[in-house]
Amino acid sequence: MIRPLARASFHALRGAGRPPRASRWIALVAVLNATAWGILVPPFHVPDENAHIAYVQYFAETGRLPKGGAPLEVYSPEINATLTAVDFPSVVGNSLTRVPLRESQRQALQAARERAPSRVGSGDVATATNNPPLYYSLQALVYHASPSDDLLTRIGLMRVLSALLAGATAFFSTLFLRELFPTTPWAWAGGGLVVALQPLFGFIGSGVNNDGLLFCAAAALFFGLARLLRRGITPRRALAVGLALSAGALAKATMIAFVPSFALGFVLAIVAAPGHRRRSAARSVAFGVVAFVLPLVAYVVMSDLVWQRPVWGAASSLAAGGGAAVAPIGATGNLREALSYTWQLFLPSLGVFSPMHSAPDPFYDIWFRGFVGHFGWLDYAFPEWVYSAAKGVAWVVVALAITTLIRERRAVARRRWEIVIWMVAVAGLLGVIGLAGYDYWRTSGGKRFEQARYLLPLLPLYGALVGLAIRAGGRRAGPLLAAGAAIIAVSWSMYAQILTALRYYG
Amino acid sequence: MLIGGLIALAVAIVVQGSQPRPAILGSNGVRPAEFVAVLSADEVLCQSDQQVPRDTGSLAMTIGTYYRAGQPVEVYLRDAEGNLLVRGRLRRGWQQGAVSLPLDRAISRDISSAQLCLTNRGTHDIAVAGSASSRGVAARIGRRIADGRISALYVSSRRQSHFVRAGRIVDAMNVPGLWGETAPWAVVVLAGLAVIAVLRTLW
Repeated sequence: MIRPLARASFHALRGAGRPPRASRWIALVAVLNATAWGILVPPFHVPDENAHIAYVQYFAETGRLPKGGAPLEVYSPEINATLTAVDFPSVVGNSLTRVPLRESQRQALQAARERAPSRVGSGDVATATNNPPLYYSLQALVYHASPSDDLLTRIGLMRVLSALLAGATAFFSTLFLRELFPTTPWAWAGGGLVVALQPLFGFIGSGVNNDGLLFCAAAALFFGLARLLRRGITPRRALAVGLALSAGALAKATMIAFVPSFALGFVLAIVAAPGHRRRSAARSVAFGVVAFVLPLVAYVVMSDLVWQRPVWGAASSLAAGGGAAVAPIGATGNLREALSYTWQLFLPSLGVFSPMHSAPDPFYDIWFRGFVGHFGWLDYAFPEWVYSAAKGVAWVVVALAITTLIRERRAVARRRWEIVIWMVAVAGLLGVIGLAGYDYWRTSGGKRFEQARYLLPLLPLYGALVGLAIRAGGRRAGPLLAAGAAIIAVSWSMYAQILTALRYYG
Repeated sequence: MLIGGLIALAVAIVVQGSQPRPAILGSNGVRPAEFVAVLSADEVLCQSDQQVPRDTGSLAMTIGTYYRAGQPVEVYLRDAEGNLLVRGRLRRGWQQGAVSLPLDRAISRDISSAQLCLTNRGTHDIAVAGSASSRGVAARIGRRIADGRISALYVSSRRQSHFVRAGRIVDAMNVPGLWGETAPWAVVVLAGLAVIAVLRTLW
């Protein structure tokens, strides 16, 4: 078993031939865009970035994984001194506050450096403490490779790695779209561009945040599953899918949301194989399952025996949320209530469930508006007209996509099981977000943590929606629709970046 | 079409960017979350540790009058040595809430450790907003310590377009780190290269 697995791994790493040129350009667009975001957004202003940087630093400096617990002081003295020097507590959450002017910031940083604060904290890195270590291990390499021991320089370099991951996300998303629309290059290229330039993705993807590796692994998983379902299962393809799922799960526990679609994809791949190839298909599936399970088993064993820390801590920390265990009135923690909470988080209550959210329309207020753009630590956003315009554009995109689905209903019927897999992936992620949110809501006395960035693992499907809309234009209008999508994506991204410059420096 | 769209985008940026607007140059980082000080007639409220940006021509503060018409208020900015830098005055008749306090002249240089003082020249109490939980030394009313720090925004003496304020943006982005002084230019170059890569993708 080991030798064929190793051979298949080698081939999987070698890749499946040269990717199309447009996908490489799209990856470059995403890298350039995310690097620009990474320079534009001041250090620590991507959500929870201070906690993620603290994780990297603790791991890089000690070789140990963080272990939290009250009443430990969070972060290292160096990070705390830098946060104060850049006036982070005053700027975060207050859109009227700007980062300090150059000279005062320089003096404060210099004074902080002269005190030579320790780089090793207690090991409590707040919200990031229980995350799996893969993303932080990569960033720890960057931390050590930095030519300077200055923290801000190290953060700058870590953000460059994040930008490369954003490029890889756009690359895999584009390859996924190419599998879906192989005969209409303008559809997959247009869809890939809107993914690469999506402002929330650029903003989150530019920061030091394990979400970056999660998005990348999710895009690779979508591409791998599409390839496997459309071209047939081979050991190499199955292995690539297993590795993508495993890498994502070792970056952030949210990735477990895709386990059902992964399993369903493998089942369908075996069923779709011709009778005489079922055995070899099953053998390929075994490769994929081993590639998924083996790294996770290693992580479980190491967590228990070496690091003595909770295994799926990210999920439990999301659930616990650090809040006080005060249940709101009527919150009993039962399944019906959890389903009601999750349903109403995304869909209208329809009079069936009693209202559980303060936002009148959570789908629009949290997810749509957040996806259009809600930046910083949720402290600045576009002017209102942008959301109204985006709503209009979204309706047009959905109408065009439905037109394509109706027009190509025979192809859709042939691909119905594949579509079921993508729907299972969506349901899995929404379910994980809803259940984690419900647990937090229940134990924190009615607080909420849901943000649109949690939907970004579904970026390839967002690209697919735009690709479907572009396909509605056919051979004549399709390329024009792709150009229109690119113009909107560039304008949207640039506006978000100008808004960001004015919010922090203007 | 793509190039036409990008040209239209560039024109929109130029038109929007050149519209003059009152510019917030900075703030003292305190949110007007609650009223932290009440000033009776002729009482003086002072808040230390203020970083006042160059070109400040007025202050924006949140002041309550208990629903009466506003009475005269004087404002002073002093440097760390206590020398008067500039004064300003709000004449009677203003409305409570977010209030603009014009200074007699604009501040000519960045002041790193100024003291901001407010004198109630009316006969009724006024309440000044700030934050009780904000870090730093609380404001003082004479010898009395207020309930927190007061909130103040520093507003430019001129209505400025975003292009005029670009200098401030460039200055504030020049912080130590990987990109240092190249940061603002690197953003512009990267954004430009990204647009070129978009054109290359679809061509």
